[in-house]
Amino acid sequence: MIHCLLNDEEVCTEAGQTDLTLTWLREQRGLTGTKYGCGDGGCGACAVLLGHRDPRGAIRYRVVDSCLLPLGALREAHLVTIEGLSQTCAGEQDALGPIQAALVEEGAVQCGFCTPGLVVALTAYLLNGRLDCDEEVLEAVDGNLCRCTGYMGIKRAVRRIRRELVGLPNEPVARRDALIAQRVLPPWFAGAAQRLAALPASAPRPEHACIIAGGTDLFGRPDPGLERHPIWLLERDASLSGVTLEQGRCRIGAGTTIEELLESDALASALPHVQGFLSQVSATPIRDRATLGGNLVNASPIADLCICLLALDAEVTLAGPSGERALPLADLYLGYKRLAMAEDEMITAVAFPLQPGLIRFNFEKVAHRKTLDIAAVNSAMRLDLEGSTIQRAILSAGGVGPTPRRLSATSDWLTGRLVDAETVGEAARLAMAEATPIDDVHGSATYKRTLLGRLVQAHFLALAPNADELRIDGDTP
Amino acid sequence: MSRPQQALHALGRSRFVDDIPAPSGALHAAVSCSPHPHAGVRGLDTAAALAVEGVVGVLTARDIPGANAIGIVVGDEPLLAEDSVHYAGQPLALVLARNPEQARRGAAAIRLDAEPLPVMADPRRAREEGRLFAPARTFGCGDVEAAWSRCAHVVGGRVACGGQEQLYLETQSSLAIPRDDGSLLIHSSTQNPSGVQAAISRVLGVPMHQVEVDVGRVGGGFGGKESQASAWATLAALGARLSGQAVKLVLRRGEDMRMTGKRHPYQADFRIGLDPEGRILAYEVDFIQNAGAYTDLSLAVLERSLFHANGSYRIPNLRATGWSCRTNLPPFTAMRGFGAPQAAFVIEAAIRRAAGQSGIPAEQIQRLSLLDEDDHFHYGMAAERCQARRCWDQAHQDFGVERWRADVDGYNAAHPLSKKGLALTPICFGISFTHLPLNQGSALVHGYLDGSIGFSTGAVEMGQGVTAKLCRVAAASLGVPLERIRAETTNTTRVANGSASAASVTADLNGKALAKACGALRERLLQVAAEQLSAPVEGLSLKAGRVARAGRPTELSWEALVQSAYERRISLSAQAHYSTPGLEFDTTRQAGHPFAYHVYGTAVTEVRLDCLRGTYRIGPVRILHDAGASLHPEIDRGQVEGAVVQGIGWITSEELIYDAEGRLLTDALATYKIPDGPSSPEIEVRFLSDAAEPAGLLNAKAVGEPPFLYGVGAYTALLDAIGAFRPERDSALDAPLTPERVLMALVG
Repeated sequence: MIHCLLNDEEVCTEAGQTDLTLTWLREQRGLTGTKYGCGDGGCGACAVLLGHRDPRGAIRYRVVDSCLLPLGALREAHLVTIEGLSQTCAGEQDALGPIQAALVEEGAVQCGFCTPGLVVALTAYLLNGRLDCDEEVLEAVDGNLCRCTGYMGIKRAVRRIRRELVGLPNEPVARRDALIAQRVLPPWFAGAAQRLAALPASAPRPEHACIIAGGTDLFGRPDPGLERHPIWLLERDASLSGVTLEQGRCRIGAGTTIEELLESDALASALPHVQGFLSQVSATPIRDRATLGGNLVNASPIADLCICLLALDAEVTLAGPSGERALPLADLYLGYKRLAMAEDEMITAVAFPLQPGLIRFNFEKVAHRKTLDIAAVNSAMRLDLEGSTIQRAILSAGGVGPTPRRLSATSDWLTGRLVDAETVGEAARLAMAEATPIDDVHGSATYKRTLLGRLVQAHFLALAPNADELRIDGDTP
Repeated sequence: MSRPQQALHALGRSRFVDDIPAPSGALHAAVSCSPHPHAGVRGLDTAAALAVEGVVGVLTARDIPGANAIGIVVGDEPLLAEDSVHYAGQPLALVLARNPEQARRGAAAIRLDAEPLPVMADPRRAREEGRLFAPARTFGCGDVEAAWSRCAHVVGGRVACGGQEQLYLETQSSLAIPRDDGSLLIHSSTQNPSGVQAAISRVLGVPMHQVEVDVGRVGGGFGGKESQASAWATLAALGARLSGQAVKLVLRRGEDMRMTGKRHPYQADFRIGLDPEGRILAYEVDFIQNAGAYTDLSLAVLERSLFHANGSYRIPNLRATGWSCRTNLPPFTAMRGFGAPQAAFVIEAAIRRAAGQSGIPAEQIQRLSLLDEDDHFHYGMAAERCQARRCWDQAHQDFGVERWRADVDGYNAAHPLSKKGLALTPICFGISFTHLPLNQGSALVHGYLDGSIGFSTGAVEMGQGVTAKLCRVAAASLGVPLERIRAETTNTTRVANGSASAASVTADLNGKALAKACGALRERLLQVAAEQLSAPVEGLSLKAGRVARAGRPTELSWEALVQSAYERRISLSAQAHYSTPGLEFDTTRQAGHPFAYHVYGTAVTEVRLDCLRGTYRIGPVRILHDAGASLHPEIDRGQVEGAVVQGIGWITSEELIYDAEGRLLTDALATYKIPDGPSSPEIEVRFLSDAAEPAGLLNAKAVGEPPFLYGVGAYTALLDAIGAFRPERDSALDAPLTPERVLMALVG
């Protein structure tokens, strides 16, 4: 039994935990404004708002793709669809809110199939976004594809919305009330937190449940076998989320979403430029659901977070029936999608060592697109320097073997070397020799190996204090 | 103006086919398809499907009451395979079930007993083996052989471009509803309602008047729902006819990508000859088209490649030959541009290669060879009201190309690992269906007693804004405010025998028919007004909801006029038909006047290349486009912006990858990469002024497809940037120029 608030209505459903929200909305609730575009989180036509109460009782709304959202994730949550957002002007037939008016009037609507998802994503942006910063305007809708407009109409609309709604307060409740006053949100948003608190509490975690975090990869290709297990979706388990800096380590709860990492001041203070790296991980609606632990256990050979954490020398905490144990992340991967953990163990946290002063860390990812894409090769490097001598280097790479990999031979070779052109060239050569990529849809093996060499050079360009003396000229090592 | 369609979309209230509530008892269908690209069929075991919970029936070729043929031009394509399969993804059977999941489980349970046969995936080999859908066809002018010796530079090469998935966001969808008299109502997301009607009639063996196809709106088509919507609508109709229940068939994304046709991949061999200054004297090109397993529209697509072989250039000696090659891939089909983008790509690649080898700047070759007034195309037609050079010159001036080029050079000198590239892309696109009979349209207008107006045409609204344009035509013709006008759904019962909404001519054909119908109604009503006002009809007009006399409003309102006409028993409805005048083409000489007019324009495209990683950023793209006297500049701007980004996607990031057996590996949005917002360029669109086109709709020009060709500029600008990094590199690289191709080119 799942109790939730759907738009302005308390709803209770007996549908299965792993049934997809998109199907339920369209087929059971008759809410067809939310569209099926791809079924794997690749287009945003099915975007909805998912709101949960934060510790202070206010609701924090996130844009998520309902095609990847299991119904179990709705317990005690507020689900808002385009139909709900279109109630801003109840009684006025076809009257548009400011987001809708901007999209229509700036030429952002052609066939209209992606439009509801855009309205939802832009609403989330107005609820959460830092409107004062000078980011690329389209980051607000980085999870939404449009095949008709070429995005210029959407850019004009987003620029206009930012212009019109300048000066929104930052405090969440005040922001919400301002958006109600501006007719971006319907008035019932004001009472949603209270109604959510009054919903019946959900049942506790069943014994021997199969635990799923995020599921943004899993639910793109749901395994029919899932239905045979009792399922428990890890939703906002406070004991499993958050970033803390203590005793020279940065500890991250495995249930922390990637978007939460992106927003974490603690992480930003520990790791310079981390937001730039994390914003290359998929797109907002996926980052709002995908968790760190899920990224690690999914064991994709190209998992972005995993590659970062390998270079940061992270270790994972595994909890099982007999207690907790720590394992270096590099030892977690035994082979393609094979993990050094037992069926009844779960990752509860990840930690990596800090150091006094600056951590020299860089992440590189090359894909067809900068957002909403999977890397051909990704790579991270941590470089500890004493003057221009390398104290320690850790190089990791994805897409160059069956698992996310630490390139140990290259890393070891680098220790004690001077950072100069020769070292960089040799490191690139060694990394290419160490890599074992295959041909697949993300690129040929030759390309991936070549690219890895280039990314090693890119790491030094980003990290070496004497980068301009390295004479990297794009010649292949 | 009010744009009710767009408002409905923004409110989430607009209904696409899958949003239409199905009648109670409706069944859901799924398609079982061949896993083999080429095989003889020994048997099809459907028993396991019937055992799946919720499955109520499985239909195979044997259940088809009429002809098992859906090919739009040639009837070579079966709806459901019989003795053999010719591509992976070819439909074998239709499973009907209580819900879509059960239908899919049923479809997955069907087993094909097949004997694999050799697979042909390479069009060059297919050509060698004579696997062609028609004999090779050649267009040309002048004497190419004689011209080579007069050229100062002759450069040859070989180049290829990939196919392209249309990737309309609404997947192929249909809902078939049987009625009490055995006739059927079909809701289909098709660009071609009459084509769907004809296919259903043929396959079910029923007269066309028993099949009513209704299209409210389409969530993107781009050519992919022209011929290739028919199979899905026909399968739904077959299910409805045989089960007596409504049947809904909506493809999942992966099914749609694997089972439907795309833009044709081309390979080409070319030779180009220049005079000492760089004028193109001769050009020879062989287009080797990968057409897939059945004819579909491939021959028409190839024909348009031959028409557009010259790009936007005057080429006195030209020979273009095309082969349509049969391979074991899903039949390739229409996509925006319809063969012209491939032709534009080849000539622009050829010019770059010639520039590289001769040392003459590409821009000089382009400029010297641009089409001018009264130049003749290689198919005999003269360039009339030619805007090629005006667009080029104005782009040069408005966008400050000389300074822009200097800035790019300055940037390149200062950045060893980052290079910019700049390219100009002049375009030329002929407007008309090259299949003559398709150049007709009709419209039906009803005036109602309260003064409101409803009209129907054969135009399908798929986001291109044709409805808004047609409403403007009706409002202008009848002198009433837009609010009084309603565009009805596209429906084969109201407007019969319509052409597909395709070839950019939808607004032209249907708009002119609508203008004629409204004009007939207007003339009738003005006669009534003349009687009512006791005034000569000559000075009367309809304006702002009133009858006007010598341009001044009279006391007679539109509403009173309509009422008065009704009382005099004058018809308030009108129907009209339009056919494009002046079209002719002699296929023995391959010459004539196949197009009503041409659309021109020039794009200036900048790219910035990261020479270490092989990644790039496209833009800005500044475009000087010839829209005639645009009927709706906001819509036309949107069409240009959308088309250029699709073109950039085709030439850069969108890559169809098949395995050795011809199975599509990039069958999801996770692996097939269309442009997203952050990767799309800033685009500036300006329209050519003083460009009224009398052959167009209210002097406006068609706009849908031509700007797709600007996308080629991303390719040539990338070549320019690669050349700035590796000046010694001389190659016409294949497209799409993915980051992989670019990096491997930079590595050298």
